[in-house]
Amino acid sequence: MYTYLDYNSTTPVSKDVLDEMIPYFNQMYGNPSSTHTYGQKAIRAVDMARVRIAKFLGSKPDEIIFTGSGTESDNLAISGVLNTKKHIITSSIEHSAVYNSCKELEKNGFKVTYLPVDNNCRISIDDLENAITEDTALISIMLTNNETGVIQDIKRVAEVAEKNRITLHTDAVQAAGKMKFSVDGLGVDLLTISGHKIYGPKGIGALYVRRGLKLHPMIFGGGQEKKIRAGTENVPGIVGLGKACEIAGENIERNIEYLSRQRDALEQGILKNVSFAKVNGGLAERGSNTTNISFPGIESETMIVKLDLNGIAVSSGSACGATSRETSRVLTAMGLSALDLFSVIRFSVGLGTTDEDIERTVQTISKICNKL
Amino acid sequence: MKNRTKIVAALSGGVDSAVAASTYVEKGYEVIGVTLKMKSCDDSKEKTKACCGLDDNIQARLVAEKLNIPHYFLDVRQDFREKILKYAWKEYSVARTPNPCVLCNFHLKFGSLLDFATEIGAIGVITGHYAILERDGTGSVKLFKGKDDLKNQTYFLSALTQEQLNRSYMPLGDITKVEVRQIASQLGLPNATKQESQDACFGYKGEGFAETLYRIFDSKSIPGDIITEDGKIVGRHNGINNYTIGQRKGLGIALGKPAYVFKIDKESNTVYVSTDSSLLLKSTFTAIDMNWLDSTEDIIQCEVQTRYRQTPLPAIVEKITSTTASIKLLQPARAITPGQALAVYRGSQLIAGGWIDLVK
Repeated sequence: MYTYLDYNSTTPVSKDVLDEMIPYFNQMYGNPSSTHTYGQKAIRAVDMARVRIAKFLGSKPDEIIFTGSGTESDNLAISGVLNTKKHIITSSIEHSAVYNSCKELEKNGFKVTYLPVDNNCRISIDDLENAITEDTALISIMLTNNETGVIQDIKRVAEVAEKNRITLHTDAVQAAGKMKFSVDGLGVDLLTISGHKIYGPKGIGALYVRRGLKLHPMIFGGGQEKKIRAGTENVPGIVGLGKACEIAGENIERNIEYLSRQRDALEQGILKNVSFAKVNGGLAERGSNTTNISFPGIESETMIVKLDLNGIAVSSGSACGATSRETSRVLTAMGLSALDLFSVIRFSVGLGTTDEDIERTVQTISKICNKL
Repeated sequence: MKNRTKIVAALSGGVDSAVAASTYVEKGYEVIGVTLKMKSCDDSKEKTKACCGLDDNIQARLVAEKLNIPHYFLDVRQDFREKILKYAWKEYSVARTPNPCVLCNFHLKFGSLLDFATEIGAIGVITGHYAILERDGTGSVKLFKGKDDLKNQTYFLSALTQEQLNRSYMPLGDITKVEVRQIASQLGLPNATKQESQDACFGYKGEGFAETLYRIFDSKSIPGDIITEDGKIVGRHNGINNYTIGQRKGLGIALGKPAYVFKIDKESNTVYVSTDSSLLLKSTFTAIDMNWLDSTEDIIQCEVQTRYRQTPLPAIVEKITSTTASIKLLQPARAITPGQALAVYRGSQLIAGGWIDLVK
């Protein structure tokens, strides 16, 4: 018996998604750019995926660009939008895909403002307004944080961006499928999603690009994806992302309710059984599936290994940084004490999480914590 | 497999062409969907339009998927630029107001596309025009307004020759737009409820068509005077190409009353305006490049239409040569404009087309 509580790092591909993808590997394997029937089958599948994703995001199909990952979408949004202006505003809690894109641009003469967050992981709109200069080309603020699940008020960020005529990007990789939103509701110009966080395949991402906004490509080659992202389309991946978005959209309300119920049961169970456990970001509005808890006195690595040996998979933060034993940049920005910082565990539940999983996890953690 | 009759369906991505195509699929024809590729990716910053018509392309492919027919793109970008845009640019530069849509039908939809259809062994092209084609079996075709004439589409077909009409198929002539939408929903077509596009197919927001053309063909508008009918200079214009007969808005002058452009003179580079709108009323003009579809007489009692969305007006059309005509309206009409298409009707039948040349 194994309990997987690391859905923020990745999710399994759902059966319906997999079933739709398979024929595109070896039956309808044409190149979407080809004129013949094989090509037509492939491009129509790509179109259908675009339509489904557009419906999910509330955009138009032609506003969806397929990429190779959420990271690539973030990179494209950040390096593609810049023209003559050379200042970017982002936050100190962004995923590495955004954060390190900005770091890279700094090496090339760009100025970047990293907005601080309060101890509940929220940026302040005043800070944002104060950071804006004549030279600000882009604001990139994530919708839902991958480590704490805290949601930023992107609507208000969008009002500020709009007032100052600044392009706005949001990384919605961890928000998709876990909260209801639309590109117009948020008011963003660019939005990133990723396949493998929403029960779709790995190696596929999408970037919503509002009509009228021109991006400089990062990858040059053929004319695919409006010449913004060259390279033969990953047709099975695109089909998978399209189906995953369709399923996520159709079940969004039920899923949110299910995920919050499991997450809340887990969080309350732990807090009830472990007197010294502390939820990080718990006072802010959070996405439905994540809880970030410090167990002061028990180092994260120790806890992860102990839980894994008990058949429970969790992480200390972003999977992308899991191999390095660095402390979390996000939680540091939130001002956690060293003790809290070194003992943090991220639990992220998913659609496969059962009541039994939750019970087992609470019991196991209780045993580990109360024995020590 | 039975050898079915091949026919090409022009698929624009809209609901009309989709339903038109579907009727021939149902009749058992081998229907081949084709979308004209007219535009390249450009630097358009419009928020209302997709880059290079991508949304229409997606819709067209989804329609083809739904109808289970093959679908191809025909690249007519070169012809679109050379035969339509360049023509329009030249017309503006000689103080005329072109109608690129009529010419686009002539050269592209019923030109390049018909040629393509012939090449692949198809009998012709199906389009979603609301017009009726009546064939008498001898190769002669009569073109009538459709039952639903709200879109006034025969006006845009006025340059088509007998030869072109002969290979054209317009199955929507005897149904209405409302019925077309119903059929589209019944068939589950993805664009059944798609909004009617009101935009011209080509253009940039915040820039007049003539301005765009001048930019594309890298020519300069020459500013000049705006003069009233009694010779008074009342303002400056930014190039005669940016004005049309009857224009009221955007003149940038204040005469106390609404003023209209009533004459544009290329020689003196002057735009003439007046507050007297009766100066716009004319009843005699000539037309060139006449396309006689169904008229053997030299003097024809008929109705003529001189611009889009105008009710045809009673007139006498007199043939001067095989390609020119003199037109006399029984009652004067407002803003007859050189360069615009002329459509000649007898009742609901389009019997001739041409281009307005000199207005007296």
